[in-house]
Amino acid sequence: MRLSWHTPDCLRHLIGMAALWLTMCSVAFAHEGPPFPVLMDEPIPGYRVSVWADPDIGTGKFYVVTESPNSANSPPEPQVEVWVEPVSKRLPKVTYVAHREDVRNWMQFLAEPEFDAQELWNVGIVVTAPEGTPHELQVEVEATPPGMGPWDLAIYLFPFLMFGGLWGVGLIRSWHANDRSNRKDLAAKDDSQNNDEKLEVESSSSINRRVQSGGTHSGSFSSPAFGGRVT
Amino acid sequence: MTVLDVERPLERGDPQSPGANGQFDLLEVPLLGGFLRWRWSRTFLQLPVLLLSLLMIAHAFFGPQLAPKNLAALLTWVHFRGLVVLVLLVGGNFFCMACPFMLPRELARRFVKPSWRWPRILRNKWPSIICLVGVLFAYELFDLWGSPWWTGALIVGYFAAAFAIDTAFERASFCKYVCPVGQFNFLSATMSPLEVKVRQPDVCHECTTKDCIRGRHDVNAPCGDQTIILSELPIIQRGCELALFQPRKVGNLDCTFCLDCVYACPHDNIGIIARLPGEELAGTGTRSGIGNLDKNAGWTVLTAVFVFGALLNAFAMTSPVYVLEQEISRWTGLRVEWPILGMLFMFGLIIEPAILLGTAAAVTQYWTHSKVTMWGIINRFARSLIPLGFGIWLAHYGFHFFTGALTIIPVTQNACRMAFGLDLLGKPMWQMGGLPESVVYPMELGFLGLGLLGSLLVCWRIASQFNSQAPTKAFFPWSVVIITLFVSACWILTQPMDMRGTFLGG
Ligand code: SF4
Ligand code: SF4
Repeated sequence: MRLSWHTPDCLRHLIGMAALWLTMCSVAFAHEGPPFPVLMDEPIPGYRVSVWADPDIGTGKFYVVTESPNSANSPPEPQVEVWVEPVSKRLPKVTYVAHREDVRNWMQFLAEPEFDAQELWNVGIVVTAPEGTPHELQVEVEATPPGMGPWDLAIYLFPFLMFGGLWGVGLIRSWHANDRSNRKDLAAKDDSQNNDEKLEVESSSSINRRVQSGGTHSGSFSSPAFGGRVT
Repeated sequence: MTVLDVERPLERGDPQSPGANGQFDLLEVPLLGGFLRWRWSRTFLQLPVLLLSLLMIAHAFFGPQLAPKNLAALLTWVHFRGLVVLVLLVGGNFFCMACPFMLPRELARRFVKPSWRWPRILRNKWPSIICLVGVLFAYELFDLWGSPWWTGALIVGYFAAAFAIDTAFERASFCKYVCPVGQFNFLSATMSPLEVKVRQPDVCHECTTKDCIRGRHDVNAPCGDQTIILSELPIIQRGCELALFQPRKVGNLDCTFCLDCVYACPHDNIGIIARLPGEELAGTGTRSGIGNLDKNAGWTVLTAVFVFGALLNAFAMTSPVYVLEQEISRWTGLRVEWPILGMLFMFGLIIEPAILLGTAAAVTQYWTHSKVTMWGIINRFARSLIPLGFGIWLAHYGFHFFTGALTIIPVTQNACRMAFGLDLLGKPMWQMGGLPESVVYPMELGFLGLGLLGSLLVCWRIASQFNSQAPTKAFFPWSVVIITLFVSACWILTQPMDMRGTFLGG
């Protein structure tokens, strides 16, 4: 059987693989990944505070966005600090200064606290307006291992390998089939045309005709809509 | 009345009607096929996208200006881009099919007939190359990913440009010569498994009207007693506005999946047919409406922008790019961003491709003793980079989409809360995100790997056509370029991401 995209079996296998893979994806869904919002539009005097957290074990990241309460104008730049401590209290509270980031359209601070183990942590966000009193917001997050292990890689790369294999074999077989039929075409032609250079040119143009559109229409015609000849 | 050259449409089920020739044809799929064959299916798909665009424009200008809370920024830079590349991967150019920018012009054309032809000097890919580079540059310069207002302005600008150009100029001039999204889709669609193409070439041989390109004329139009010429009758179904003549159309380049040709063909001889992704890239010769890619510098430059722009755009969301910008600023003393960004673009889109492609072409020419010019060799081989370029775009846009797909839920809930003062859709569930990175990173690697495989295979095929005696000599220099680009893309993947890359869809 010639392996090609047109083969329903081939399509069925690919669809089956995709379904299996999606099932695996849903099983693996977990609370990890890119930063997720842990506080959104929390009001404190003079500000609305939103916080995105990426609490990876090792160095975590907390993005603190401060907006004015009415969104109308940008508020004065506050000082922002983030503290962390395990919910179990096995370690003392550690405070990190959040540095302002170079973001064009809003005011944003980044703190990078350290997490040493996968467990629940209390996180405090302390926002202090210029000449103001500090205001603290508190959340609880779970520190999670960063990145992927070798098994993740193997499992999720598997469908790509399968698909790549099928696709590659399909392409090669299709091109070989075209070459074979081109050689037959050429053999039927005048033998005098059969020098090497001619072979190269002919094979590519007939591959083109065959592979690309199935069209074998020759010549051009005139169409007023296109202001002349259509090729 | 005598009408010359008229063929009546075939009915479904007509013995001549194609469809049972073993190829998968989307138009033959129950329900979906019927829907797509319906004359108004495109409008039906465009309308909801138009309404969504209007909603996004309103939210861009009047909603919250923090990008992760704004529908315009989120939908444009996370969902739209991700879905476009994924749909191109599994289907075809269905975004162009549902493109909302075309609806206003369709409406306008009911009242005003465009009277100008697109200027001959601009009938090439250069206007769209300038637009594509311009959009990529503006994206970095104005931090479009983080600015709802500018995102809204971009969408409005798109509508205005499409409307102005297509009401002034005949046919689909905006799609074919200007639209940067369209060009992106055309190149990406070479990797799609579906193509609008002729079902049975023999039927086209017998066809005398060529309605697929000329359009179908109203043979019942009142015309008195005299003999009339078919082409002078009013058109009731236009043919391909992008000048793609079906019997000699090759692949998906320049095809917007508008299906005008399907509706126009009196023999029901056009389908949306399955094929092997990337196979068309190895073809040579003349393509209808496009010409010979081997002699077309515009397409080659567009391809280079597509491939190297993918790297540049992905690199720009990593942290090292900020360090690099600061270093350049320190060396040069420049304090404004645009010249620094200009230098990065100059390197990424001109110097780097020129060095890599030029060197590969020179080595190929030297090793194979070819008489083909270096530019000719670049034209010939540049196409082999498209699968990898598409893989990089897929990895990049797919990352944003998969890690942020569900963010649309809380943002919509929040928009509803702000618009009506009530939690009509429930309280915003801000914790909703998407797939974890441990799943998405291998997928990125997988997309890059597939791109690498496709590029190498196409390159080998082109090399064997270029020099059938010693294809390895032509293949080797280009495979080095492909592998270099692949390694660069993998390196970018492993770089620490700037915040924009993680939750803003940068
Ligand atoms: S696709 Fe075009 S040329 Fe072929 S049968 Fe239809 S109208 Fe005629
Ligand atoms: S009319 Fe032209 S652009 Fe539209 S689907 Fe047919 S070939 Fe493609």
